[in-house]
Amino acid sequence: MTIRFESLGLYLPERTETTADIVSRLKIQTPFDLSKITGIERRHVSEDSESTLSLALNAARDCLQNSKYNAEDLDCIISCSISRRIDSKYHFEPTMSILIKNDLGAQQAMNFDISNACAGMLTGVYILDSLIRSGAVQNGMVLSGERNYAGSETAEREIDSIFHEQFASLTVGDAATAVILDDCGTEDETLSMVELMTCAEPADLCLGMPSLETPGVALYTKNIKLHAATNLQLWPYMAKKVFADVGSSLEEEHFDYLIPHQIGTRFSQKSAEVAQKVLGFDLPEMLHSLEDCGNTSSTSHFVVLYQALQQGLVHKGTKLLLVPAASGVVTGCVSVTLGDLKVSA
Amino acid sequence: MSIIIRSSGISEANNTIGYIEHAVMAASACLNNTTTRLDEIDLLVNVGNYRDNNLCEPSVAALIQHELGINLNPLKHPVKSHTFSFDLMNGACGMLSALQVVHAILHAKGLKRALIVSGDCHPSTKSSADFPIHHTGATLLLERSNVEGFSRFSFQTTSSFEGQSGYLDLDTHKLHSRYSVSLEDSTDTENQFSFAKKVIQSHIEQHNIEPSSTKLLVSHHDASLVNRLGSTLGMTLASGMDSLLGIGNIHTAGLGFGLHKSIQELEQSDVLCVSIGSGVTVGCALYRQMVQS
Repeated sequence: MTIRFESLGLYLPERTETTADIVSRLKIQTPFDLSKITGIERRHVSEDSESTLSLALNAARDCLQNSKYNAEDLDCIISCSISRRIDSKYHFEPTMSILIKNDLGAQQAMNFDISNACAGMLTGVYILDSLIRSGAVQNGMVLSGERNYAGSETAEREIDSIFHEQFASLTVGDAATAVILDDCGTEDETLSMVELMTCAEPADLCLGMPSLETPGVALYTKNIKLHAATNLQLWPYMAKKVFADVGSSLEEEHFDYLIPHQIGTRFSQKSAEVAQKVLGFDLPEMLHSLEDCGNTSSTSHFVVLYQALQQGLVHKGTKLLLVPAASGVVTGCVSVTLGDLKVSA
Repeated sequence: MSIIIRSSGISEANNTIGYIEHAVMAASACLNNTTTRLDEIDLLVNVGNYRDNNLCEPSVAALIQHELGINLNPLKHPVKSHTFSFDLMNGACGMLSALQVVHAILHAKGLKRALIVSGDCHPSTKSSADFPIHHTGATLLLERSNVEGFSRFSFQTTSSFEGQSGYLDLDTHKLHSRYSVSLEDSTDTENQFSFAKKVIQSHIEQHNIEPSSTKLLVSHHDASLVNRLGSTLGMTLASGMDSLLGIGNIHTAGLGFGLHKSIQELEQSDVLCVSIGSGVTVGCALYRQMVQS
């Protein structure tokens, strides 16, 4: 059985905020240029009327428009949002996935939500790939709507020192993505590897929860410890192992591009340097959507992929390595060779 | 293809501690009953909904993994299994959904073991008059099996939502948001009963399950609903149901708790596990430990 990405969906809110404007509103002067460090010039920001649910539904509809499947054909819907926000409410129950399937009219689909920080969509892909391979379902949709910018607004109000733990929150943007997987792949169109791992020693170095200082949700990140070389070595260690387990190596796989989680250009460079030392060869060229979208958390890899298809950077036959870097910490390797994927202009 | 319960553990209800502590105690109790080592666990899935401090990142599973000391850093401490963990949320049906997902992952990836942790707490980690769920934890250790254990999963939902909603309202709770949560319940008990009955009957017919020789384990705290289902379907309740109904509302921990309390019966009889939750969502799976004559 060969699994593939059958179709993709993307929704980006129209409004944007620039990094320069955000930084100019901080209570402190920053001695560094945040745009330069991260490569982020602007990010998309939801309107007050938009919710995690409405964002996700927009991506789902785009995905279905690019798919041979209708909503009533889907066997499974997995929602992976971190920011489960509707109006001013963060929902623990009901699941986003049941609200999505009721709205789409996908009554027959099994549904549940996943929460795995910025590895959410790739965790959904890991699970759906297994559900299809085990015969439980033949297809399904993994999707996520993220209203991350609320965390940036909290950070803007509360940052009072250059060592503040909410600095990373200034990089986030809003987005929604969806992907349909099915069992109709071929040798030339395949999701050939989905391997993920959680190394829990740094699990408490990045915590998202409501702030006690101003009303809002905040993300507290101990960046220096979290991005220490000992943690950055985890990915090349795992990549070496998982490809060796299938009698191959990262180098022998000849990936056209690597899509990292979109934290920032300097982080990507530092990760690549550490990985190259461990692996002993140059990594494939990296793709980013940082400049216009920032860090869109669980949706980031699929924002990059969708935009790369729109720009013609990737196409049928392109072989990609998707690499998560999520709090937990979660790392891994997702290998996909693209088919003839349609995307909206 | 199925997955078998290798061990189970619970943390007794105690509303003075939070979920992560309960989950760690239940998981420790579960693992103390086996020879399984921490570095032999391939997957760790948390299905708890209501958590300490209304945490939204990282996964609660990763924090529980951290506390248990599983796959902390394989470069420093080499391990046999490179554990992957995540949260799966499907309200009161989360455990049954996780069992189906674990079943799929262990078979599709050729992995061997998974730990599923369940339970809930008020975000303050303390007792609260407007929070009806008892803080507790229930854990199952599952292993891949070819013949015995859980199989025949099915889920159905109603087309319009009804049931329990749980949320944090930032506008209402403002600076108390980290320690506040609101619960509302729009459940129509009669609708819930009718839908559950229909789904279970359809599951029984589709999978040729013999009601008279199969025990019924329903993850729900309403004794009247559970007893009506048993009598309407002509099924005897599993031995753990008395304890489950006795403890009250333990939400996502219900199925794990019920299975833990029925663990000896699982060796003697088929058990139809049913979860009923918000949606309305009804999920069913058969647990068969011995090949029946």
